[in-house]
Amino acid sequence: MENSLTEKTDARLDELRARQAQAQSGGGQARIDQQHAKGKLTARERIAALLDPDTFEELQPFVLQHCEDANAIHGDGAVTGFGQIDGRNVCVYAQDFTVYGGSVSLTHARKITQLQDLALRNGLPIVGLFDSGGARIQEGVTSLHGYGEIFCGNVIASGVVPQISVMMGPCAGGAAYSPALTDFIIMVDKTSTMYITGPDVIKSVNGGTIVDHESLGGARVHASISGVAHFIAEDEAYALGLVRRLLSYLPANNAESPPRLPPDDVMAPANLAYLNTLVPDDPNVPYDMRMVLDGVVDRGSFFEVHAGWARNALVGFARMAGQAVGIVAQQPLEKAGVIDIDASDKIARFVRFCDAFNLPLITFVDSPGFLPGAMQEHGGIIRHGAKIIYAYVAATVPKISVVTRKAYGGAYIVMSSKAIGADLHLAWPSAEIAVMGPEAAVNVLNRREIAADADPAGRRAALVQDYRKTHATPYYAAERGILDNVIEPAQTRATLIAALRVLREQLRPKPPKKHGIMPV
Amino acid sequence: MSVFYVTVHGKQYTVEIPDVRTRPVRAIVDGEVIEVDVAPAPTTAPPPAPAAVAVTAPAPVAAPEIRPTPIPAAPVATAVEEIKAPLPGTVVSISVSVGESVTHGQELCVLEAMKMNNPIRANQAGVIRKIFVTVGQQVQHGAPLMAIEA
Repeated sequence: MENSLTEKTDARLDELRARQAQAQSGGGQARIDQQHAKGKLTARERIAALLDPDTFEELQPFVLQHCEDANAIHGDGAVTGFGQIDGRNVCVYAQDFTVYGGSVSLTHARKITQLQDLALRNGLPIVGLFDSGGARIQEGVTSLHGYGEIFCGNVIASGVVPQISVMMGPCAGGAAYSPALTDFIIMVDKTSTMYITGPDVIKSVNGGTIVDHESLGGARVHASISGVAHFIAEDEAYALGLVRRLLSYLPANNAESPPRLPPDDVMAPANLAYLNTLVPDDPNVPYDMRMVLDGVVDRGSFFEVHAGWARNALVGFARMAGQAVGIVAQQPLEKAGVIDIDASDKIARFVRFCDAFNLPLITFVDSPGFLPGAMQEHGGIIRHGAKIIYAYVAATVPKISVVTRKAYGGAYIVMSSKAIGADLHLAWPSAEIAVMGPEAAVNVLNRREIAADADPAGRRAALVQDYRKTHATPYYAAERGILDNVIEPAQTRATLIAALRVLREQLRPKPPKKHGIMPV
Repeated sequence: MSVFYVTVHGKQYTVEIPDVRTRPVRAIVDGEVIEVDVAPAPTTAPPPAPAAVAVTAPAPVAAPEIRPTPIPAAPVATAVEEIKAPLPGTVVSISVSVGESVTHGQELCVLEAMKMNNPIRANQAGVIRKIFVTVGQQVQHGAPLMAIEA
């Protein structure tokens, strides 16, 4: 009696194992080999490379699109489940290109939306690994319905749990909107593409203009021109490494604080004294803002986001005495650090993200102003620039700003000034905080005086010098209390760490509303 | 973060590299940040082993120099790449001549714009085929400055 029961159980286990093996093989060895030949890993290999070893728990591996179809493939082209990264729980899904080209059916989509629900209920980040030919055309419009359900999940999860998309193959048409709704897009160079209308459609509409996939929507285009991609990775392994590093700065959800490194793991910058002489005396000579960060944040902790796009602005994550923070800055080395349309979008988006996930914001200001020109005005710099103000004012995380050199006019006010809600607004002695540059100011204020002088050029130079001394300094603002302090550059790190210990979430009464209307 | 101890001419330097896979590699040599160009690895190979990083001896000065910002790979490699003015401004100096070979990231000219001397750098290695501007010339946003042939 006991014997036969064991036999029966063994047979059931055998069946389970056989079914598991079948599900694990995806679209079969031939297709797996094709995937490898393209330099790409399979969905399950990617998940294994992303997660801590042996932590992946797959969900619904036996799902079939059409249960009555004897040839239907288990899993339906989506591998979903949960596991751990650096010992922290995450939800992950990967499209399996070996199964129907990773195409999206309603069944495939619902595996993803169920994972989104699970992530949302349990407050876990979602990482999506994209590699899909698009909608499963044979299924008709129901596959589009599936995309719509995924979009819904993306929007509902937005700001609740971090969402990261890794592009590891094609992503064309409406499919591109799911990654676009997530917080970060990482594209693998040369193997991933994203566009709404492909080369063939463009050709048929534009009549003969030939565009190739790569120059239309390759990783390099999106990482440097469109700003769609936040990171570019030379290969899949690097892309997955970026996900792990990115998550190391982020809380699992919006109710948690970002992870903090134990004090023993914190490395202070070895040298701070150089900061005192970093800013050149000649205001026309640029310097590298990343060198400022090197002397302020924990050593090696700056992790730049959007490094190839709108490089006149600098955003990224870093740690201060182990605490994760968001860094926003201008880069004087690029376009003099002006604020233009792309820089506005880059800054505003990053500020929104940091605010949603409880990352204190540290802003370094060195901007001569907004970029003048009809191109910028006609492109809507007014509504784009307004996003920076909106994002900073709405942010309730601790906000600290440091003016390192130029802070003129509108660029001064929008960059986390005291007026728009900075908890602590500091400046270096090299700061020039004024309504406009000395030359421009003198032209307006002293136009008649200069014209009447026997030596207009000499008079002008003297007035410029005078204005620079009285207005283009941090002390005019400091004396009026719109600057909290002027600090020695080498003291910046110590001051910021002390401030971060004190500052908490800003709790200010807000009028009841459904949501504001961010100028987009 | 990897830490190496490199001896150059009998002096030992502590070299920390936060991420060996960035290009150029940012290395912290005795607390000073320098950028190191690394020869490209075979494309399919794993990221270069830290040992392969060639570290040049750092300048012994305390005050760091201004380094060129790494320029991301050009979106689309074309034979002739026009370098365009990123800002409206005045060309205050030109540091190359027609026919000269330039490296990726080399300074080509300086554009005074927004009260700043902005170095304009090569976005690819190649030969200068054309220089469209002269010193003192005012240029519009997007105006071609030079053409580089890869």
